[in-house]
Amino acid sequence: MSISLMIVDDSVTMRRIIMRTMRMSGLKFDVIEEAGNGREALEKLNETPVDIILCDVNMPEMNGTELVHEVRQMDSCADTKIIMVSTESSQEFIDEMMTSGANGYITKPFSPEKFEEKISPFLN
Amino acid sequence: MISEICFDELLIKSAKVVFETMIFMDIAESCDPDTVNTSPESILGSITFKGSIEGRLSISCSQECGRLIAINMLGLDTDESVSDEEVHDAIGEVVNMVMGSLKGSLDGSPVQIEMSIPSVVKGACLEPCVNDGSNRVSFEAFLDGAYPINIQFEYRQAKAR
Repeated sequence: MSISLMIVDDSVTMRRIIMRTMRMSGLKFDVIEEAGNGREALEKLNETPVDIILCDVNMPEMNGTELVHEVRQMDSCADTKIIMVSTESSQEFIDEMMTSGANGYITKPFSPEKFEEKISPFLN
Repeated sequence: MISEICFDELLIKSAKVVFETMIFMDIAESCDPDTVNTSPESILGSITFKGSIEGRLSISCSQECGRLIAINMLGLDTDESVSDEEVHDAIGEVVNMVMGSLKGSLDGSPVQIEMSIPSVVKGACLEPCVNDGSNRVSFEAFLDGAYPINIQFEYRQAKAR
């Protein structure tokens, strides 16, 4: 089975750090897409939905919260799992993101082990 | 209440977790309080915050040290080249994560803050300035035993609005 991932972050460096961490964690994806903000992600998702989205919160044009809301309206992404990645670690904010439709939350700084722990449950 | 929070301990703990978890570089506090980055080509990353306290966290180091931080963060070999933009982004992310980690340590305390977006500049002998009336916690350290780095946290009680 082919598993696809999209990394949404306005920092190219952070997208590369996430990919490096993914390699170190042993997680493998057949397709990895990238987007620099929520709007770009939506355009790509309209063309080709993915299985898992790793999404930053603070981004220009369309932030992570708005992207979660939009993706949850899309029938083609009904099974897409969204995992937020942010330095924001307050439980109140994490609960808010989970209530709004995110499936998981990873706080920065993160280790390869943390990635594996948070993402592997969605790979079956 | 703010005086009860040990910001120097939180700053050191936050910096260690970021450098050791994300950058794979050992960070050791310098025993010599005069340890300074004397490189003429420096890089300075800063992030401000506001809330019940307001201030700024800054990290400064030589550009060579900044390049090594970027190489480690991106998982490159030491002889690979990184662009100025990648070094700039990497330092911005480090500042963002150290501040984020420190902010996380304050969860559950009376101190609640919001962070800005980080800014990064490079130039000659850059040092963060301290505003009047601010408290300052400064942490001089070596990365991988060789590269001086300064991490500074400046804060003051927010003015009533």
